[in-house]
Amino acid sequence: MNRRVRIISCICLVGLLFLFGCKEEKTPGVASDTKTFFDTSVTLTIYGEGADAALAVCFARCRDLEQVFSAQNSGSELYRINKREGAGGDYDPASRTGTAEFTVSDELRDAISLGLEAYQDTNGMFDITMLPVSDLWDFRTGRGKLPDMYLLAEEVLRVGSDYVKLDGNTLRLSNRNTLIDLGAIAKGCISASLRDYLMSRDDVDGAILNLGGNIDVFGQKPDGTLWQVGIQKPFGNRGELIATVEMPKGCVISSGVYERCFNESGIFYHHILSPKDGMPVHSGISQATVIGTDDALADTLSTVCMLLGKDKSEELILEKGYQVHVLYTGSDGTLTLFDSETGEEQGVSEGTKLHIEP
Amino acid sequence: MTRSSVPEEKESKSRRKSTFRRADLWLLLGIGLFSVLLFGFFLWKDTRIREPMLEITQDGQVLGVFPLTEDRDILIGSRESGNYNLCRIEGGKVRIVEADCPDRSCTRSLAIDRRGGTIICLPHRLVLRIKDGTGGIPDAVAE
Repeated sequence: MNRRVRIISCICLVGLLFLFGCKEEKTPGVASDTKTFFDTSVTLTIYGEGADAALAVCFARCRDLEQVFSAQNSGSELYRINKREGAGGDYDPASRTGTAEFTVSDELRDAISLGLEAYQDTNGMFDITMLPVSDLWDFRTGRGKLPDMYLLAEEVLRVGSDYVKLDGNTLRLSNRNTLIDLGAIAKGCISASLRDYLMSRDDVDGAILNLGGNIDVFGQKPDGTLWQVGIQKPFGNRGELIATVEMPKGCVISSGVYERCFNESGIFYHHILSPKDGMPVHSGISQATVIGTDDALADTLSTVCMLLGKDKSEELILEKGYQVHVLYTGSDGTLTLFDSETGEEQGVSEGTKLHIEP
Repeated sequence: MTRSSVPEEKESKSRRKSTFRRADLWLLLGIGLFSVLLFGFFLWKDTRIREPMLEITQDGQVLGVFPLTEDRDILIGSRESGNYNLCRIEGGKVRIVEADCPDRSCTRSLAIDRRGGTIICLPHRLVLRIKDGTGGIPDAVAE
């Protein structure tokens, strides 16, 4: 064969390779989208070859779990329980007396069980039956309003998780006024469920899950660096940060008085309410951010910390042996980082980057 | 092939190397240049497609996608019938400057730019997000 022809073919082939090289220069799979569920927004960013497929499954799962946890979505499992639809036991629908009995899904069982445990641990401060009281404040639909104090006092007397009993998957409600709201737990349960699913997929390398400000990250970021999770500055502009957490994996969940709040006659009111009097709690902190690995627990704990304040919540975390870090923002704006492993507190200045490996 | 190769074979006995070298060099240069140009074209096309854009979604429906490079105001909904948000793109930054939602937290959101991010107005089920953001720090914000 002619040598020149051979050389020319070789060069052409090399040239062709160049072209194919361009085609294959696609970024590794990434899929991201924002949708609204449970009166909140969900932003998921997934990395890996299976990102697109995994994203679709995750949003479908959000939809399914909304049908379990939402106290507002008619037709959800929790909504039907609150309406006493299909109640078993000795419940009499006509007089609304007796104990209503339900067989609940595993998801609902786990969330309610977590709520009841926190109720015991906090001597009734964390209460999943506060829905009738919080509805009077109108934080969910509007920007909040001062309730009628007579109505508030009346509802406060009716709430209490003592009327809720859970035995395996059997739920018993012994008071007809008892309504369950899992707003402080459900998002954590859902992000844990999404994360477990994504981690089980070999074609997903990593992800950022943002469920209404509850952040969970895991796996590998495409550029190989650690995840950077900012923490909203209380009363700052949305997106203004008070600190940043650098972490390989884990969840960062904040609770604070700066969301759903209002001023009236110079008095500040917010949505973290005490079951004792139905009024906003003043525990000396304006924000608590829990950093850990158990999303549902961290979600619950962030509210617990707000209810109990810094010292009491630290005591509780140590007593229960929870493995978490908590960043407290005091009402005066000072930052304190608590590490449950060492049991020590450490002052932190604003804008600090915290390196935490939960 | 045979036609051209016959005289060459003869000639190549004396200056074989140099003849092949020169012709092939030009060919190599030509193809190389062509490849580089094509490569550059695809790279350019690629980055153009991935230019960060603002995507506006309401109730899960995409209302529009806008470049960040042109300043403009986008009114979502109408002031007369209520439920509106006025979004402004200015100097590559996007923010909501006006809205009639109850909490107005959307108007207090920090501006988003080509790095990425979202602005959300829950009462109006409105999501502004940067598609194909270049990425920035932080990756997410806990609220």
